[in-house]
Amino acid sequence: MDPLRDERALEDAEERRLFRRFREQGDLRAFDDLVRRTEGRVRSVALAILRDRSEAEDAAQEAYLRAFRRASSYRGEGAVGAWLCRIAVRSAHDALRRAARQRRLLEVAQPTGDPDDEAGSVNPAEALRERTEMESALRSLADDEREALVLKEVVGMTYREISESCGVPLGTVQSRIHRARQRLVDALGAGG
Amino acid sequence: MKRKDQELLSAYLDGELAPGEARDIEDRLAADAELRAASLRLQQISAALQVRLEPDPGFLVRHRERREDLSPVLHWTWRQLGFRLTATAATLLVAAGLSFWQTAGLEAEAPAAVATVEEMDLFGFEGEVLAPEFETLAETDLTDEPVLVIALGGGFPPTGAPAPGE
Repeated sequence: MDPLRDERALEDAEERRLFRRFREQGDLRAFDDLVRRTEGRVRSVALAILRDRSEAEDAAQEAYLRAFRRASSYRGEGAVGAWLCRIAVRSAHDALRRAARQRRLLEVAQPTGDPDDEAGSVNPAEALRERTEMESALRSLADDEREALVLKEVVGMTYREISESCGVPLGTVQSRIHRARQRLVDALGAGG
Repeated sequence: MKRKDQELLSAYLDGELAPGEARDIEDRLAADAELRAASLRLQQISAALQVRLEPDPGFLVRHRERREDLSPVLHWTWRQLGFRLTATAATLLVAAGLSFWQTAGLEAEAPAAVATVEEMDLFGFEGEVLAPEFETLAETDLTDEPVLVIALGGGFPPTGAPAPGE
């Protein structure tokens, strides 16, 4: 008997029931309840990837709108909460790509100048450069590696849950998480 | 350190190894400083990734606002969309059925205004009153018998009554 596991199983069952009520009866209050129960996890997932609260809020909101519009795309594999977290991971990935594109555009627009000369001035290019090391290290991961790592570290899903949710074998999940961690170690030089 | 060892170490830190494999890693951790250093680095990475946001009551409010900005059609679930399409199809079918029924009813009533020349003889017309356009109609009718169409709704005169134009 694992009390934590039992508690999560009850949560999963309740979230599944709410989602079914929304999908089958169009019950918006059920969807609201689902948002209320899961938004902490979903926002945390987005923040773990984007490292910026405002962007994480946008990505989480986008994730819920995607789930709302495409409720039929949930085919019952894994828990509803895990499905929502995976959508949030995708939304965060999209935001990362948009930010990278924006950064490239700004660099093209301002190709010259020593960054030190701009000290004290506030401009978008400088703000975009002020990303944390972790964010840029996370960006270097493949999407599927980042997804598996965040579902493990932030959502606390087991390898089996990730495997069911992502539809990949258990061994693949283990490899992805390991590769992701190793890339982060290499990029950050954690612990020297 | 071998890649396989690193992968096992990662799974061990996640509590995902079988008891036998876990004991094996623990024995090696006790004896291998390089493995211990790798374990420490992985734990630092995990700690740096930990993000746990508390629930934010304002989030749901903001979500509702964004949801309301969607087109009303996008508010419909597939099931609701299915109901609406079914209702529309049913309405169209009923309308088509009514239209067909009315048309069929009119066609069924039409012969009342058509009489053969022999029938007209019974009413005393004796065929001589056919206007040229009626004769044309009679010739083009698809039945074998020539017919007379009473176009202006006057009906047939009673037997013995004077024929029109008399």
